[in-house]
Amino acid sequence: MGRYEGFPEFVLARGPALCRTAYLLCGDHATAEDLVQSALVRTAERWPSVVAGGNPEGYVRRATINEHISRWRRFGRRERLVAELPDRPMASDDTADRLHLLTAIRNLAPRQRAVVVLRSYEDLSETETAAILGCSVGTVKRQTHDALARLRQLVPVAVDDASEVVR
Amino acid sequence: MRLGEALRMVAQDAEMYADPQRALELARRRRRRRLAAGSATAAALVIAAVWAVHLLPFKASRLPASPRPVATSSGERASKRAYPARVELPSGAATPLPTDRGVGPAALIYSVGNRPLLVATTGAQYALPTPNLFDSGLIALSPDGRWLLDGPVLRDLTSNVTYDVPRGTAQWSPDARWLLIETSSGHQLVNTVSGRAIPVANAAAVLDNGQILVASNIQRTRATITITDAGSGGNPHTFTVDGSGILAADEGIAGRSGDGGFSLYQVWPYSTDGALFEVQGSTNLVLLDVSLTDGRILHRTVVPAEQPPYQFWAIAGMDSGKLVLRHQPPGNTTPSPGTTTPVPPYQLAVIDPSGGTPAVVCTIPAHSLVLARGSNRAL
Repeated sequence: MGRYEGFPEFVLARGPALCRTAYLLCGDHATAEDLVQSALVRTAERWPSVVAGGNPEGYVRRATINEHISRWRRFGRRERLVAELPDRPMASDDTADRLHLLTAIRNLAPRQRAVVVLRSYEDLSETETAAILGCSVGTVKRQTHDALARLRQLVPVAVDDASEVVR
Repeated sequence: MRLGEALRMVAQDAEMYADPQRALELARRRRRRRLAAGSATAAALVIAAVWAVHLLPFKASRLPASPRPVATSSGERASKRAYPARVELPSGAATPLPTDRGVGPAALIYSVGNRPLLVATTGAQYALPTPNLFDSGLIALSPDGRWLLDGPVLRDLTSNVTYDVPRGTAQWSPDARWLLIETSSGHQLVNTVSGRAIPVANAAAVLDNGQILVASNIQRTRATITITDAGSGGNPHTFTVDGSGILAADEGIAGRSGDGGFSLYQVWPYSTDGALFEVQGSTNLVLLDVSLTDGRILHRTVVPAEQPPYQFWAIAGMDSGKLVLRHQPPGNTTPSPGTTTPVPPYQLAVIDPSGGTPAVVCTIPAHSLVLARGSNRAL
């Protein structure tokens, strides 16, 4: 195995969590697979130095988010954003709620999606989120505010407690 | 609902996309290319230096072009992701299925000589601990290959998470979010996101939205179907499925049960809008594609017998909205004594609910018992 020692074990152990993050970022399986695999290839190429850095999972997560944002720059304008979501039942149907939320997240700009996922799903602080995204804490705050405002407009039932995110 | 909780529910739909071997192959190829390019640059510099020193007019040879990776479509990736093209018995003892880490979604489970082996989508094979799983009918794979039901334990194959669930025979919703278990004391519905089980009515199937499908007034060719909320029994929606106008004289969607009445053959929902009702009594493999909105029969899905009256196709399971079939190639399936004619492998194929030509996705060793995705019955 040599320079790639420990890489397969790392992927098997942490892969599911990374896949879930990637799926939340893009909202479809094929793109999530592309994101994860691209990030893993980049990680494997630099595996000795990534391990020496002490946080391989953070490295892959950052690579995944960067890939997601750069893909959006290249291909994102092909995505169809809608001003309003189609009417769907909301209150009691979990599946409908999930689909509705997923659609709403896909209507956020890529950095807003990343902020929402890192802050609300990964439970990272503003400082940690800023470090991963390579931006200032103020930018994270502004993106969070804008993303929540958009989500409140699209799926109010899923964003009934803004303080959960803006801590 | 809080946003974090909602996101965690959505994230449960993610599959295991991470394939370390594929990533390593590409990383190695890029590294070789970089090293080759570096060597070429160094060689070119040496040649240029020699040329400059000796003023000799010769040309540096060009490097051959590096092969470019070939992009594949999402559909090709999806089918490659789900099934290894060929499954062969491992030469030695297979690694036991690890309990401390995930192995990724499973493509299938098969058994030769009472040695059940789980085949991951990566092609890796793992030995399952219980030797007689195929006799018990208590093992089941989810339609997405993520969940393995083994007796009273539901295991997430992408992690080491397990849930204790009621022991019984199981049916899945098409998206694998719900698991309907028939126990000795009634039916239980398990949510695979939370692991929570609730008692429900005697149901024939469960849909992606957690509603159950209950059959009543069952005759050989027709039945009344009620779709209702699982726990409360609320929001009932009732219609009749009547196959009498489309089924042949010997065909039926239900057979005699022990109490003298009729019970439906297997019902395979493929979405919240449609389900395939198995038909028995035909030489061909026949299913009725039924609208779950109003009970209309949308198609009569038929896989013809290859050598009537012998049928070599059988329904094996349901994989993410497609029906999985097992094919036992006709002829030479049982070698004659004293001959060395190789026995052709069995095949797994998928077919759309509305029919069409089965698409072979995988071969498995001949004479295997196979348990496909979305099923609890080994063939």
